[in-house]
Amino acid sequence: MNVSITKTLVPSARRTLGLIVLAGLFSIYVGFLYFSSAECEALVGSLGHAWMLLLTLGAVIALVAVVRENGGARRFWFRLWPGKWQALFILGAWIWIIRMDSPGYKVLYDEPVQASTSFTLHTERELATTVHAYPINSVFTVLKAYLDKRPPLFSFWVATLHDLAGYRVANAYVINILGTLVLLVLAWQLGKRYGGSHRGGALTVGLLATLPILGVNATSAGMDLINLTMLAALWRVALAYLDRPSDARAALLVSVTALLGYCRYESVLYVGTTVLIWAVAARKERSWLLPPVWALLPLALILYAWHNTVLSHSPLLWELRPEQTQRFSLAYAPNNLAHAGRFLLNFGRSLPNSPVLTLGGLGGGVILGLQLLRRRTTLTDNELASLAALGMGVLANLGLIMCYYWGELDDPIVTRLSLPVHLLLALLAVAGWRELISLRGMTVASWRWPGYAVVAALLTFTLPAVARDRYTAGNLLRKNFEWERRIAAGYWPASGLVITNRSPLCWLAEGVPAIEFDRARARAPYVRWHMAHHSLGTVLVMQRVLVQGADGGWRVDATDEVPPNWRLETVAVRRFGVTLTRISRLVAIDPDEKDGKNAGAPLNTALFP
Amino acid sequence: MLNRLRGNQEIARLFLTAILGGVTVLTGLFTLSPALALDVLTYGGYWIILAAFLFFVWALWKNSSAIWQEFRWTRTDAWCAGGMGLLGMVLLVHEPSGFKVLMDEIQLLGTSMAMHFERAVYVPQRANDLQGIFELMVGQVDKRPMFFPFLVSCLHDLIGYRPENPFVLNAGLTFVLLALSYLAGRALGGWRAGIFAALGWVALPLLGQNSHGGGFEVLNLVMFLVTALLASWHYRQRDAWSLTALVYAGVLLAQTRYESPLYLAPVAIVIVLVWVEQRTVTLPWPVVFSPVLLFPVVLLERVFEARPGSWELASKPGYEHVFALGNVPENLGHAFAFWFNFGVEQPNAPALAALGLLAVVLCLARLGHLWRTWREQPPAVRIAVIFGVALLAHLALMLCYFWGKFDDPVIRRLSLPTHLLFLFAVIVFVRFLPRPDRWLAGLVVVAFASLIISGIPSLARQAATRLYYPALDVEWRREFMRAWPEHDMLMIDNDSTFWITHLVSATPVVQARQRVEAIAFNLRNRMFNGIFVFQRFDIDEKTGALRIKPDDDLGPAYELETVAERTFRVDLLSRISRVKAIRLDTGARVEQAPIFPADPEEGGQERDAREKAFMEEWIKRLP
Repeated sequence: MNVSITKTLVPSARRTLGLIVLAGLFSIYVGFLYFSSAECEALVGSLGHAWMLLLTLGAVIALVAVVRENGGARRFWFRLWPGKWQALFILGAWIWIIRMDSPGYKVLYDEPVQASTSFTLHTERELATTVHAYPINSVFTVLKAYLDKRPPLFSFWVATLHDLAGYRVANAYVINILGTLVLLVLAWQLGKRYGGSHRGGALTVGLLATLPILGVNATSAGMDLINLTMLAALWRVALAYLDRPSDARAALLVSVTALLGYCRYESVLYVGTTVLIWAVAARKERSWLLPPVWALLPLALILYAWHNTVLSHSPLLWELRPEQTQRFSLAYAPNNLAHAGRFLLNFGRSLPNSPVLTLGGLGGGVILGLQLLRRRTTLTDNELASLAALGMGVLANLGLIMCYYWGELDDPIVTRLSLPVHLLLALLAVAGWRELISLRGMTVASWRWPGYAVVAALLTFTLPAVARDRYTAGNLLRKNFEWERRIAAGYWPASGLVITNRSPLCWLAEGVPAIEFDRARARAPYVRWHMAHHSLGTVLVMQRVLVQGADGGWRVDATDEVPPNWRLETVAVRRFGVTLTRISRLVAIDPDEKDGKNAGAPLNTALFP
Repeated sequence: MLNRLRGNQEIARLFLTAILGGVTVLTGLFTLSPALALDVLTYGGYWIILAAFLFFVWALWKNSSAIWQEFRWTRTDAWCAGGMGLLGMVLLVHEPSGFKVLMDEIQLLGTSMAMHFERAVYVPQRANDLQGIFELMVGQVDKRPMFFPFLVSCLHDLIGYRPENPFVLNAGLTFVLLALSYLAGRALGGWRAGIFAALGWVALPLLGQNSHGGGFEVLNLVMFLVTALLASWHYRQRDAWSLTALVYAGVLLAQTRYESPLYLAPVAIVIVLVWVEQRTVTLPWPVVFSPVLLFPVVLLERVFEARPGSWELASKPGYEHVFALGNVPENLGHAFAFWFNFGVEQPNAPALAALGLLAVVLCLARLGHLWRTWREQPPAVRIAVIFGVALLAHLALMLCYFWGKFDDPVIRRLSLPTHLLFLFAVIVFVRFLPRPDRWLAGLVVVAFASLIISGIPSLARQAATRLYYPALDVEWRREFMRAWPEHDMLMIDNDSTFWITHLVSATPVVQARQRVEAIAFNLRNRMFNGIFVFQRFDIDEKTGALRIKPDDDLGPAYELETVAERTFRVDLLSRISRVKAIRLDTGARVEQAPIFPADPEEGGQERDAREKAFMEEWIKRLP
């Protein structure tokens, strides 16, 4: 219902606005103030799955509404279809990107945590990360779980794929691989729009194909690729909303914004972007544009608020380094900015960046900026507004990372946080080139030149960087776990319990019970009892062995030591970097003097180690 | 001709081309020092051949729609294509893929490995896993041309590094060779000639052996045919893009095998012929700059200068010159022994050799007639004659080569271009006969009979491969690697490149002999799950006693424990042993150190310092 912005609000619009404000206040109160941290944890755990399901279904319904509004599925598909050769190009780029790196855990231990979360969502319908599980009467049963800090959308989608296709750790890679295809299609559409033709779409996809970090994440089990895809989706929907701010498009905008907020911790920032988009549309239409669906946005983010409350009260989850006390501070910015520059402008092929993408984006941004100052831009108002709003969102996101204690973009764990920046750079490059063409009066054939630059970058930078693969080949944690898994898989009889400090979650996601050494030492009598009653099968112990000095010599890591009465038989030893990993089989636990003292105390044999 | 030049632009371009060619040759051969020349080749070679390949693909693309329009695809062609697919499978199904010619194929694989990982042209000779990354540490430029390793490195780039990728490439190139042979034969004498040309290859077991190997012979044949077909195309089209495609095909062909620069001569002849007949010179800019992209060909000559042993004269006592006319009679005898062997040990096709030799002689006898009727001959025949003479020159060169014995297991692949000459000499000669179609039909029957009677049985016996023990030896070492799938070992082997190309840390025996203390450090500190050594022993024919080959002797410091051994020849034993312990000069006996229980007092900070110190020490003592 549209109302002239220059006149007093009609009662219905007033009601809608009031509803939105009330919803916002309600969300803040309920989300941050009403419940305690423990209550929030319980609520998130029990409602998390249903919440994500509702949001996802809401987005699907909104999309269906938009499709109907556009004349039905056939017409919608016709508008979406890029053309035969263009589709082949996107497909080719997709295959190239997912081939850049092999599927596997890239960030340990974030990804095994999410794998474990998706397992718990799948089997228990609880938003929690399993930390303790055993097969009880052959049923792999979750005994203990905790609420992890990571936003739940990715884990939910992986759990949904488990529901549909059966449980497999690899389902996480499938989600990301398919998400990459969706990302490229959206990037094509955005590029086509900002570039003014399909050549802009081709250039956007081509630029993204020069980015090795995209390939790393496309085959990972982490949330960053989906975050980027949802950001691209928000961008595309924002453009569609600005073109025609209908109720259906507003609903889609709201649902995509809400979903994006649950992709990564900082992605809730894009709510501000969405509000900005709404404001631009309202100003342009000279109307409030307030369908009641806007009230759902703050309500949808209540779970985020609960989750944030739990995280704020759990400093252990922040993973601060010993000398740090704050997660965010301006003091971190100078150092982080230097590292960001080192990453984005690296020409050395040891980092997974793309200099052509960086330089193209920066150059395009400068040209676009100059054109804006001269008021000679060829971009339409809607294109400018969406680029500005989403661009500001991405820059705010980057600003937040720069103020984060662990925000060095050239750190292998952190590089994935640069993905949104790269999408922005690609679109700026395309928009800037379009401006350059109009500026100098070049014909459309001149889109060849950035095409040649992309090909040259692929041949001289991306291909060699991907071939040498220094940024993932040095991931010793991943190689260590994959080796342990191979040895355990080849060991027969199969392992019934793994004792490891790196990390039990990796094993739990594989359906293998695992505990840490602290627990194993504390609950040694239980281990002994279950071994004696044959309820554990083979117990494998994964110990790290540390070098003693410049001349060598090896000792077991103190944190990985087993009690002296445990008899181990070495299965395999392998070097990773300058540490060894030793896999042993627990042969037996000899009686020790404590057994005598505790002889009268019965064990609760319903409990597992 | 000069009267018809369009302004001075063509003269200027012609002179520029000549100058660039001269500068390339002079700089490559004389101006640069040997060390600098090798450095330029190492770090610039990949980019030069990449540029040449891109120009070639681009030029081919520009010609593709015109070529496609001219080639009228008929139903007969479709049936023939299906037939060739089947024929190609016949070549590929009888023998497992593997390295057939040592160490050429390993050197090529090593070069492709360095090209893929480092974009550099060298063969790695020492490599280790450092912090998870398999670092190529030491290597040297190989004498072999770069185009084949370049294509293999492209395959590594597309589908990931695998030591088996050369076999994949050669299998694919086999089908390409059959298709090109069909097209070339069809251009000369219709579809029957095309079938004869393809069948003629399939009936030659030597091609089958190379199709399964990791060598550059199949690529050499493919590029020769590509160049010849493009020469024919340019002869008819006479435009800038067809010329560019021809020139760059020639540039790449020249970088396929050592003697392939010879084939630049027919390319130049065709180009000049077109200029003369057209009375004008066409020189597009990509062609003007093409001599620069032949720089690696010139630089590779410096490898022989820097390492005279590259000629391998020492391996054949009694020879003083690499090429000499005096070698011809002996080599001719060996050539006939190969072509007309009726035993099991040679992968030859006697019937086709006989036909081919007869055709070559008869064609030579008709050269005068061909010269007199040159203008009446179709373009395809003229090109066939020009390129045929080049193949004759290649045969002559091989016969002058000190090691040009076609019945030698390592050398017989050099006879493949001669077989190409035989096939097309037959097709060209048949043109002079009445009712050539009938003759060609008969020849197809002969080729088919040769395939059935001698070709397939020879492929099935695999005798040619099995009688060449180095290939079996290498396959045995690959079996050992399959038994150690983790590859977390160090191999001491004079063929260290072989292990490195399979991503196993390796070092030569001489290095292990000279750096006993470094190997002992690695053994004691468990840097590898096992340290192994590959050695060969001569077996005394009377007593059976084993005598280690001097180059494989590690010396008294090493205590070895035999893991596996095998005999591939009655007088030669191959053995893989594990290094159990090492006795240092001080008398100390070093074994793998035990792992001690934890020290509860150790701190995290100290740990980082210890690891850093150890890493620095270990890097100094890398094997």
